Parts: sequence; structure tokens; C-alpha cells
Amino acid sequence: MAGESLYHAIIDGVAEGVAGSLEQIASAARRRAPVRQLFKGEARYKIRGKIGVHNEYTFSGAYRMAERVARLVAGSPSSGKYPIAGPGRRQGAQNSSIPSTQKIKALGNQRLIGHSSKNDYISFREVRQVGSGYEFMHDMVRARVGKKTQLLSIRDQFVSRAAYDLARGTGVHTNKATGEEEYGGTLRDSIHTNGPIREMGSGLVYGYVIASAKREGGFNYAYAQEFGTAHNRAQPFLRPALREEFQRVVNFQKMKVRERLRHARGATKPHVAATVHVTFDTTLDPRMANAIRSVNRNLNALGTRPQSRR
Amino acid sequence: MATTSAVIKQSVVAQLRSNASLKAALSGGIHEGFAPAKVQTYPLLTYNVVTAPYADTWDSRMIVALVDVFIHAENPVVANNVDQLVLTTLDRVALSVTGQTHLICYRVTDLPGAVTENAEGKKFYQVGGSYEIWTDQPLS
Repeated sequence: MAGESLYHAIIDGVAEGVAGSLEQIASAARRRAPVRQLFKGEARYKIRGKIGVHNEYTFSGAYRMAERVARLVAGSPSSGKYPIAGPGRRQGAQNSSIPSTQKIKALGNQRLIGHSSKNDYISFREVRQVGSGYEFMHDMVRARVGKKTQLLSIRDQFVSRAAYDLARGTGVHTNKATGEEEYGGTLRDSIHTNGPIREMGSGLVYGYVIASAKREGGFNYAYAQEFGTAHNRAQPFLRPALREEFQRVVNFQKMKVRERLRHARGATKPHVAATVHVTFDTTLDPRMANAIRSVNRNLNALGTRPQSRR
Repeated sequence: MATTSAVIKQSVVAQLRSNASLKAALSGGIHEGFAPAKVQTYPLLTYNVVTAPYADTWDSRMIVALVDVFIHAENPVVANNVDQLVLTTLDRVALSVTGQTHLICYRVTDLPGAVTENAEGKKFYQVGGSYEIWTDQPLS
């Protein structure tokens, strides 16, 4: 029947709107999610543009650079050989141990892996895994600061927490997309969406933006970051992301439903409810629900469909 | 001159402190963000401004601040009872906000509780809610 097809067309539009909205909110949440800092003085959440291409690393912005820099190349301590990432060499090439000072001089120009400003850079040449932690083969690196080249202590470049974490091997996780180890970003990478989910019969379409980072022993790390604990400050990222994207999400929903209405035919315009849950153990933002109710009014509810639940 | 959400935060704290029963119940005190590690007396209260977006018109500014208020206690019953006191103190009450006109302060949602353990294995219960405060102020 024309009414039925119209109804289904609207539901499809709502589902499409929900799917896009969830991704918008999730992207905003990923931008806002706190990420462990590695270097002192690095700018976070700022995009400075493409820094440059160096061997296998490509940097596009200070934020992405911090990710790349934190990639650790772990070798096998038992073999006595450690992979080197050097100029012109592919990752994974092996090298025997050489006194650090000679090694640095022999390898010539340093390769950019990460820095805290456009003109500074630091090169990490060799890293090995010792027990559960990581240590660098050389304590000093030759780095360019401005136009000068000087020797710098590696550990001095880290924030103290990063140095502590790397020594203990905490805060390092495997990036599922690349298969490489990275320092920091577990929480951000755990943000994902689930939806749209259609509830048959009621016309309800919903979805979830979920941050699921947990620590060993099941401690809910994402919860602690969003809400804080007694002795740790909260660093909310999910709810601010929702608020940031709130109006865009509502407008996107309206646009998708109107698109479907335009293409659908029929005399009746059923009452349709669409709700987007931002859930962290089922926390519903009532402002979103109110906004969706206003969308419903705009759809000119007619017919005998039962009123949808929120 | 326009004021920020800091004055909203101050008004929330002032309102919490004005309730003598609540103040007496909070042996560990009221803390912004987190309680220092040396504070080991419970129950205690922490609050945090989550977001405070502005909505401007030509001549006025509305701020909609979302504030989380948590009770941390060694006993879930105590945590819930004190949370109830916070609810009666803040929900639908008129706050006195410096430089801004208070419109409404209400609890928008209960927050999911958590149970944490310290190094000795002692459990602590975290219970709370989010409060939304709407204010308005003229823009000169």
C-alpha cells in the first residue's frame, strides 16, 4: 500500500540519518579523547599541515605525528640483534651492537620521526624490548634544533610519565589497523559505533557510540576518563562530542528523512520517532530526545500509527 | 561585561555548601575534579563541569552548563543517601549566579555508578548525576 511504502521509506531515511549521525559523533569523540603525551611541548589537537615524508613515515599534522612517533620497533632480545630504522633502510634491517656514539656519527643525517615544532626533530634509531618495557639503544641522539645539529638526551625529550610508561611497557598497544605498536591512543581507538538498530513494529531506530577501553582486570578505563574517579580528574570526551555535533546531527536527520519523503509517494505521513543514544552504560541525553520530538512534529503526524517510544 | 561558566560553577558549590545536612554528611569534603590522594575520608563529593556551550543572540548570551556531581563512599547505601541530599539541594532550585540570570538548574540524568578498589582491595562506590544549568546574560 502507498502508506506502507511511505512509512518504510521514512524509516529507511531515519536509519540512514542515524548511521551518519553516529559516525559524526564518534569522530568528534575521537578528536576529543585524551591521548597520552609522549614528547614535551608537543601540540595536541592542532593540525599544522603536512610536515613531510620520510622513509616509511608520513606526517600530516602535529597530532598525527605524535601517533607515528610513538610507534616502537621492538626487536627480539634473545637474538642479540635489533632492528634499525635508518635512512634508506627498510624497517626490520638488523644491526650488531656498536658503541652508541660511533653509531650515531656513522649513520649521518638523522631521519625525522617526530618533533615538537616544525623545525625540531628527533630520531629514534633502535629500540629493544627488555622484559615488559622498552629501552633505547642509545641515550643520546643527534637532533636538529632550528638550523643547528646537537646531541640531545632521548629521555629528556619525553614527558616524565611517558618515560615511566615506556620503561614499564604500559600504555603501549597494538594498532589493529596497522599491526604496529603505538604508545597511547587505546581509548581513542576503542571508540566505535553500533547501529542503526531498528526496533520492529514501533518505528524506533537507535544506535550507540561506545568507548570500550578497559584495563587488565576489567577496570573500565573509558568510564574513568569520561566521569573521573575519586582521585582522578574526569576528561570527558563522549558527551562534549555529542554537544558539539548536536545541531549538525539533528539537521542531518531532518535532511535524510526529507530526502526519503520527497521520493516516496503516499497520502499519509506517519508519525516516526528517531532517537540517537549516546551511551556509556545507557546514559541518554534528554536534549537529544527533545530535539527528535520536534523533528516528529515537523513531519506532520497523521494516520493511526501508535506513538513511538523515545 | 560578560561572564563565563566559572561563576556557574561557583554558584553550584555555594548551593551545595549551603545545605548543612549535606555538608555534615560529606566527611571528606567537596572537591573540584578530584580529591587529593591524601584525602582518605569518605564520603566525599567531586564535581566537574563537562560542557558549557554558549548560545548567543544579538544582545544576549545563554550558557547551558552540564555539571557532574559524584559521591564517593565506602558503602553504596551511604553513597545513594548522600546523592539524594545533593538532588534535593540542586534539582529545580534557584541559583545565585554572579552577572548572569539563572533560568533553571535540574538533574538531567543519573550517572552510571562504578566500584573501584584501592591497593588493599577495599571497595569504593561512586554514585552521582548530571545537572544542567541554564543562564542568560546581556551582551554589552
